[in-house]
Amino acid sequence: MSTSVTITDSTLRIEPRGLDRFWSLTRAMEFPLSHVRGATFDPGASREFKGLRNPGLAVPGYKWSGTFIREGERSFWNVTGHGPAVVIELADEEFARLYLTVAEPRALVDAINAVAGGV
Amino acid sequence: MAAARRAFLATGYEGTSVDDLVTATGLHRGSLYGAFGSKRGLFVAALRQALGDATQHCTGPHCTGPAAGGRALDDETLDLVLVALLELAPRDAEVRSLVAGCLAPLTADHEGDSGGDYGGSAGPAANSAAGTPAGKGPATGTDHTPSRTAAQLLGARLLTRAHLPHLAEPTTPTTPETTTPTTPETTTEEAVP
Repeated sequence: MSTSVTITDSTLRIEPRGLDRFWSLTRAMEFPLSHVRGATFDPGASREFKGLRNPGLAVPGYKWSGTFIREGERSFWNVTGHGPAVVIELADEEFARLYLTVAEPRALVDAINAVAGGV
Repeated sequence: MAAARRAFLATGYEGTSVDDLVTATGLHRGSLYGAFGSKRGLFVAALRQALGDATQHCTGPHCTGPAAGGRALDDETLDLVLVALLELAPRDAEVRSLVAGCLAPLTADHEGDSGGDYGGSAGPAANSAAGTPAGKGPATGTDHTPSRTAAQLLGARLLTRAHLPHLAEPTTPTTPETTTPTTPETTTEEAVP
């Protein structure tokens, strides 16, 4: 399972796939590109403390799916294992950042950074 | 920022993980993302700062014009430019533009310099390439020969960094001074009017 990320002319669309939609309680999210500050290929991110789950699924060492709150910041996670994760930084959104397992992380990071308009 | 720059210089852009940057800067991962948006954002900020520092060197009375800005690039800045050129510029328009803006004056200076010597002996003549009759010699912030194009300068730095400095020196006896790297913070010297 992973996340489908689609870039349109003006938005970034996030869709958890399969059962991840259920675990994360999220069918799809869309953000204006002007609210996207950048993306990073960050495999080490999933090893850090993620914060308090609220709501979502957390299977330590294997899966984190849903909303997590750490030091007052809300982040959305849909990460499986400690494999390749992409971190997308947002501005003026419900979530400060998104942590996602995607099929082609490096290509996605380049594509997002090419169109990211946030500061 | 300096710590991040050193990390990028040591292991390159792709070779430097966010974990490495967290360790190098002492910032939390969330703070790093919050401040710079991404690893790329941090690299661009470090590159901008390095190029900005270099540009600041040419805002003084001894150093005016874009040509002088090109000369103010020290070895560390050149190394960061090399990393940017090798890893990011092929696929990142903003980085490409930043680097181009920094290197273009070098080549422009080369074209307008007509191969003049560099240093106190030919200071006013070389400075005139900047288009300002300052009457003083250019800043000697670096020891690179200004008559080199961007390609020559970067190639020479690349070879010097690879411990092949003898290949970086010009074979033609047009420049009497060698390009031995020293500290970039040498003081400026005034040419005799």
